[in-house]
Amino acid sequence: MDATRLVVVGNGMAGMSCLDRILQYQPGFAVTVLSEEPHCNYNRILLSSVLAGEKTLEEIYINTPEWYDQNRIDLRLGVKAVDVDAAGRTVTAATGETIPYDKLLLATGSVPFIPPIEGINLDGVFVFRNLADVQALLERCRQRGHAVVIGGGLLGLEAARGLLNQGMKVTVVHLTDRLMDVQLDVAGGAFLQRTIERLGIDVRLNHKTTKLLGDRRVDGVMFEGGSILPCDLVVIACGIRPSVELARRAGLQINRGIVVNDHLETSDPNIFAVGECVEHRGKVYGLVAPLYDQGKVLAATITGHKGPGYEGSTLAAKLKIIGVDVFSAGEVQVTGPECEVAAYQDEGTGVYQKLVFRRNRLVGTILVGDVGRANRLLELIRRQEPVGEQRYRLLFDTAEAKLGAAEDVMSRADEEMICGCVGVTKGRIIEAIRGQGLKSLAGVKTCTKASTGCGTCTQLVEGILRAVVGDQVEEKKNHLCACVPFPKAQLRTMIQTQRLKSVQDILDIYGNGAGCGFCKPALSFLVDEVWLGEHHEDRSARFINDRVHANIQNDGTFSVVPRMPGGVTSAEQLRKIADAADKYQVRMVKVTGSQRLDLLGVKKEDLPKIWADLGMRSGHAYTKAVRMVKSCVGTDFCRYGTQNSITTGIKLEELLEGLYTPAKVKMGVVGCPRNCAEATVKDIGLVGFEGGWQVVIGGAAGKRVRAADILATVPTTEEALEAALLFFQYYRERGEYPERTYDFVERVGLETIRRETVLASPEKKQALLDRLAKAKTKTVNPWDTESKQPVHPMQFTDFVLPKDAEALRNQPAAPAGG
Amino acid sequence: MPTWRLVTECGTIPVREGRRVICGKEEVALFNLGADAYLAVENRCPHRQGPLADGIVAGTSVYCPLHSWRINLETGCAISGGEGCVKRYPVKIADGKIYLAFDD
Repeated sequence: MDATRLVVVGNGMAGMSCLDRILQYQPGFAVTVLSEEPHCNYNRILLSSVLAGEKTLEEIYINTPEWYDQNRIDLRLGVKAVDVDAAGRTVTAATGETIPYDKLLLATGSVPFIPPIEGINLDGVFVFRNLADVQALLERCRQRGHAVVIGGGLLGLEAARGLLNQGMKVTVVHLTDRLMDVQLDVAGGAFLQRTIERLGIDVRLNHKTTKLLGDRRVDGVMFEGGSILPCDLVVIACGIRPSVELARRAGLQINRGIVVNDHLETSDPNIFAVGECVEHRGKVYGLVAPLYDQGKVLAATITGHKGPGYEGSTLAAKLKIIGVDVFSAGEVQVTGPECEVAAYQDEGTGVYQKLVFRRNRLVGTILVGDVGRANRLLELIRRQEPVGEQRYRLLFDTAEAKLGAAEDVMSRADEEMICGCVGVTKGRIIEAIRGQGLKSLAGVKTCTKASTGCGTCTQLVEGILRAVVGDQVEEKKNHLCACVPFPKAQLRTMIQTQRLKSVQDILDIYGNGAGCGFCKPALSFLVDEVWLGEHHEDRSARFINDRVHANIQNDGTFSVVPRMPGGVTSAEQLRKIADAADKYQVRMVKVTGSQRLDLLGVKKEDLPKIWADLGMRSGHAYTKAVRMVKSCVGTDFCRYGTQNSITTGIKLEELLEGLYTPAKVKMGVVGCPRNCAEATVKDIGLVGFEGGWQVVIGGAAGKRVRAADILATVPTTEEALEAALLFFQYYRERGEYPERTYDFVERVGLETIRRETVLASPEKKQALLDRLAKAKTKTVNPWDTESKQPVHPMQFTDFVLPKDAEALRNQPAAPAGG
Repeated sequence: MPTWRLVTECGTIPVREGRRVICGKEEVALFNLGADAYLAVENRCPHRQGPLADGIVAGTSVYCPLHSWRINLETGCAISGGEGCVKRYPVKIADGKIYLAFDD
């Protein structure tokens, strides 16, 4: 007997997840998939993340071409089904081809609802539904300008955020009096609106769009009443409608969607439907979890394993905008006298939490600002069990759990659902990590399918992974850190466009709220570098060396290295150093490899005092910054000298002193090619010769030994210094913390660096030098400023408690227990 | 019977920073985790006795400034870096003042 011919119309998430299950039951089908879109199956939910630049197109594909091959699926990409002959059991494609079937699965999804507005066909008007839409939008965003999003629902807000990330000015216009009016109540909408506005998105409620203006290309939106909002781009996000055209042609029963029973059977015994296109018990679903549930039931039905039917799902929605936490489930409006509401709202922190009870059962919830309890509450709504007297407790976590949100996941029960979309419990994830020896998020996703739906559980899954395998977790290379999962270059842009001025803001909005010992200093550098001192300096995010401007030693004391530009000192400085060494009883005075002196073994509380006594500038020997310029004696003394290396070295050091960099920058200036101060193994080196200088970059004599590359050969000292400055600023802006110049040069390539610095246009060069000059004006000698006035009064202080019993008695009475 | 000893007033330790508290021979690292939550552990990393009070605080853990061992301040045990635990000290807040409990 020939294999049963199964034709699937639609290559989306619902159809393919159902097909995956069908094949698990019974691999024997001869499957044809008709995909109108010319791509393999991808995660539609993550389109907004692609628009926001948080994910690449490659990252959202679900099934590879190999998957289709391995399962012997005849995948027809770019082939649209236009007709169904239910009696003759054939599907007709737009190409004219007729494809016979034994069973037909309709997974046609939905189409954007386009309101009847004049001007809808103008150039520059987009919908936001599929990959092609996102690609077109990304392309258009390069021209920048003002984008108007019509529709303040889930999709519209996600689109708005994406456009903002792409550098657009964004206005969301919405027909009714609150955002996400289907999922939120008035208060929830107001809380959401404040958060959205704080991102820099302009929101206009009660605006009915009547016309899109423009000749060929859209240049404005007109509202009822005649007011006009000029714009360069319009995105229509007014909701979606089930795509039922094909079902209509097949003669199926249709209401809002394709009507199906509890087994996902349509009115035709050979035709089945799943996903956003179906209507089940009067409900149409647009979110992924119900579609997966339907797929499970349908797979059983279609393969003859008919079991329990699909009974409908609790409607739930989560907004996928990083930093804007909104969750809504079940009945959110009070519908009668038997409804009771418990709510908590805190305008200061933007947290709004509402529970709706009926007969002491939880029937709905709205969470804004904190969605940590979303899965637990959804489970309660599903169970429909009485919630008990202390139901208000559902609104609150303990303080400890809140502080340790990232680790909190481990305190949950193994049975608890982590990925609500696919249905994966914590226990299953741990079992997979242990059983398969998984070390990456990608591994866990592949193995368990957790976090392959909407992606909001990614942090929880990562938290579990980290808790189980600790530091063995393999991070994605281009991401700064698992705490802030964004590529470094993109973070820099986000900090700029979102005007993020503190490390904690970045962690709260884009990260896990806590950060770690690596990313906090990295973000500190980025914020400082982007805002050139206009940022909020958060010392807690800095490594101890940067909090106290000294280098911590293995016994907890610190080392103090005063600056000696060019490696030149004086009798007066040496006397001061000697006196300070005596006064603070330093353990050792050491000549460093960088032509300066190191006072080792200084106590933290003595640091401000020793700085004041020394009266010298910080050598920044403790941080990722300009360290020093080492020099030879050059034409001042040397009989072979061809260039004045001392004066040039001091000048270079003073031009760059005090600037922070992705990693430390050591420099050298030598007066002849004998290279006595080893300039060719420095991050930046100037090598003098008779009649000019060679400017070299990317040298190293540390963990790696690398001869520097020649950036430029120039006749004058001014040009040599300018070349050094151009490279320095380019590295400051493009280097990835904590990348040394020798890795930077290899990553970016010498030709690119030359083109962007010494060979760049005069305007480009001047812009680099201007930004450097601006940053330089913000530099300070921290030993001076913070010996007079520490950033925090207790910056250098310990608490010493009185030992003796007498002192103890004089203290206030110990507090009562509790 | 532990003795509660007054250390300082709330607010003297910046949020998400730690400070060393010395009491006789004992050295304690006291951390302000924000929102009036304080935790305290022995000021010696189980690895090479690094001063945990100088570490970077992330959530409810601290990274030792010497070799980045990560210590969970709630349990006192290393989460990453290696294995080992430090002693925990109970902290109490009353009338805007911070108290630490020492075994006498």
